[in-house]
Amino acid sequence: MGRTDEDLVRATRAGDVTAFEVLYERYNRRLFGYLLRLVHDRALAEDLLQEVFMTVLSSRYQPQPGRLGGFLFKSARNRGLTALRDAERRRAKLEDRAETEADGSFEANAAERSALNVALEELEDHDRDALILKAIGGLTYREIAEVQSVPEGTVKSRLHGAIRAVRLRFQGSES
Amino acid sequence: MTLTCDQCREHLIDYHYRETNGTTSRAVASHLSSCTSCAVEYCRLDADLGGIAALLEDEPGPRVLANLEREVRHAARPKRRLFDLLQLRVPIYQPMAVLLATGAMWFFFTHLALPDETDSTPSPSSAAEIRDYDARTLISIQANVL
Ligand SMILES: [Zn+2]
Repeated sequence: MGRTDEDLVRATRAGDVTAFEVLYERYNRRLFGYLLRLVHDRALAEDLLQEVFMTVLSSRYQPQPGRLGGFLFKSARNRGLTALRDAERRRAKLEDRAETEADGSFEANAAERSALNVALEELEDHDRDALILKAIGGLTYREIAEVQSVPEGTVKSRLHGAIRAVRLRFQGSES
Repeated sequence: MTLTCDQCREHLIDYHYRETNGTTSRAVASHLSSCTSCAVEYCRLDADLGGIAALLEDEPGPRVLANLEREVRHAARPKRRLFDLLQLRVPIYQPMAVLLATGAMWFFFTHLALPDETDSTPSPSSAAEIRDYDARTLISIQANVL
């Protein structure tokens, strides 16, 4: 059994770089994947990822058992949406989206990633958001409902609809 | 609580994400253990959701970790800035004591320590005598010489 998130946060704040590396390893790929799909810009997503982890260093996050994942993804979502609202970033997003999808970093699962990206792009924004927050963020329905300011039942139907649509798309691309 | 196949499949996504309550979870588990068709469907769903999660992950560049490690070291370094000093907690009696002491000193120097200004101005003769020097004696000496 590894160290808990809360334990790692406390150690990180005390300057324990090794503890921070464990924490980073635990969340960086999921958070970055989420941010990348939110802003469609690798450099911006990396900047935002850095900001999200910085909040752990500050006293804004009070360690509570089992809460770090939700906190990090909420923070990532807020920062991603704020960045998206920036007019310049939005313009850059359209230019960089092609780069993100064509930069060759998805070698192993290029076809599957491409199919998933297409399937995700076809979803409504809030459906896609619910799916990603659940699938890799691990947020509960209640947490997603708070983030999206909708009832839990709405989150559930959004998630079910999104999963159904993505699976259908995958099955279509396989046949 | 027993479920039909349709009812069971309605719950599979929530069951996968542990969002079903205890009664429903037990009913789904019981149905899956006895229904091959639903068990296969659940395995496929589980694999698909796992695959989606894996595909959604991505690797950030190494600069992010390097920057953050530097920040961790920097944040833990003991430091005291001016702003921190402003945030120091000071007992209320300390500024009160400083104010009182300042007031007492002001009162002492303005009302007690300095003598009255009219008394402190010496007459020309007494000023001369104070320094053991009387200018009038010089005048009389000069008169005697001449
Ligand atoms: Zn069945």
